[in-house]
Amino acid sequence: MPGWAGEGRLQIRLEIQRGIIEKVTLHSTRPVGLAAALAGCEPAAAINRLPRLFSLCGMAQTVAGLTAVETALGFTPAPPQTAARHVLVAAEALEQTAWQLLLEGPRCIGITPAFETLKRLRLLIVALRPQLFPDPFWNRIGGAPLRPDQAGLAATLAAIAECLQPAIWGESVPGQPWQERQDFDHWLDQAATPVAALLRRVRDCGLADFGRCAIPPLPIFDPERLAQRLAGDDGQAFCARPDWEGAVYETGALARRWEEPLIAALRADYGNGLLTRWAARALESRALLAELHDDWHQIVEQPATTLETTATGAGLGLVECARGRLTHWVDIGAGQVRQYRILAPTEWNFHPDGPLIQGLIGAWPVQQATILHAATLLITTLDPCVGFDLAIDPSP
Amino acid sequence: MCIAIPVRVIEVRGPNALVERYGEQLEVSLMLLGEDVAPGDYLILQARAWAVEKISADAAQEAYGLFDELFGANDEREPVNSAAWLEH
Repeated sequence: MPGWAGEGRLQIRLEIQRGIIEKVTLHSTRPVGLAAALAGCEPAAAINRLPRLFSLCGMAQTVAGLTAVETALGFTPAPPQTAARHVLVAAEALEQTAWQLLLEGPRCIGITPAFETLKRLRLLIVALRPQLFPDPFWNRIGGAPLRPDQAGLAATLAAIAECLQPAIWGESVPGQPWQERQDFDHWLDQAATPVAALLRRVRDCGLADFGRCAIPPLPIFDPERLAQRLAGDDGQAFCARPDWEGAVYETGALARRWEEPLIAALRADYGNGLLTRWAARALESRALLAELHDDWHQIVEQPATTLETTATGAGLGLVECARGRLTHWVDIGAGQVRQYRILAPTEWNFHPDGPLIQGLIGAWPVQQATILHAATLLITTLDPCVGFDLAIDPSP
Repeated sequence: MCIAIPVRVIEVRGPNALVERYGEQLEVSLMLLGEDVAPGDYLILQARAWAVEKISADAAQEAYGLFDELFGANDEREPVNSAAWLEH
């Protein structure tokens, strides 16, 4: 299999001098440019390939692809169809957020992951799709038949909230730790959940501002200009190493929660350091639950829509998934995909001038021995979606 | 991007399984999987370590066909970059 790279992996090496991270080297074998494999397909075939290629965020990839294709064909789906698709994307993002909070984060500090919670959560989330779209071919361009099982959806969403609340925030939460700083501090001191233990460890090890840097959150770009960047001769290079007028941004949970009162208060003290980042992850779980609840109420029964896919045009599809903003761009002509480009959130966050590398350069953990933990926590919360190896030179 | 190549179960070892794909063998955890697994089953992994979904043999073959085409392709499409060194 020539060129075989599998899912790829990141190898990150930190060079320490005088207790400070002086240099960061990142070697990536993550494949970039897989979307080129969709060129030459009929649009429906391209959409069908997306969840096979990207099975871990298959809903987000599929919905971004559907949006791009439908925009290219000049079609806007009805609001209930959009809401139903958003439920699937938000549920997938919630699962991935819970994965970071209840598995990867706890593992970084030696706490047993909440396996049973994650296993139950996955079963609940898998149940949502047939409760919205009984037809397994829900990824139909234009919209699949939508027949919401209202009672089933209500029960599943309630069960998801009941599953996550005790694991993340705790059974009985005094005050509103996701809004007020004093309530958050109290929760941090008192709560017995793995998430509270993780954040407490970050604070107590003096790592609250570890990884702090001045990278701003990803703004909303002008869609026409974004499409031009993706379509141009250097579109592939843009997808591999994006910038916007020379600036690099962060995308993901922290960027989305940037202006929320608790996150703004934590940023004032710790910038975009570890405590702020992990708190934003925890807040994200609440926000996604709220989005699921809001969207569900907009979903009503709707028949399938059949679209002619022989038109010519180009379109963008943007989706906020767990790791950040996912952008698809497609150019369709004569019933075939002429070009397909995907800009993944990881390319922003692991960019040479992005939040991981800029956050690590110049960082100095209070205790030298914690540098491995601190860097691991930073990489984990930015979540490269592939495995990584971290080496420190000289080793602690 | 989060690609995930299916693996085939060779042997179940308690909460773990020995799995294989394209000649590479891995031992992975079954702790997050809500269903039983037997040799010959196909799984999707997250982070090369955790089985998160059992898929049908047909779905696995379809995915292998796609990845064969992608990584074995030697045509005029835009290349898949598989390595890049960044120094800072």
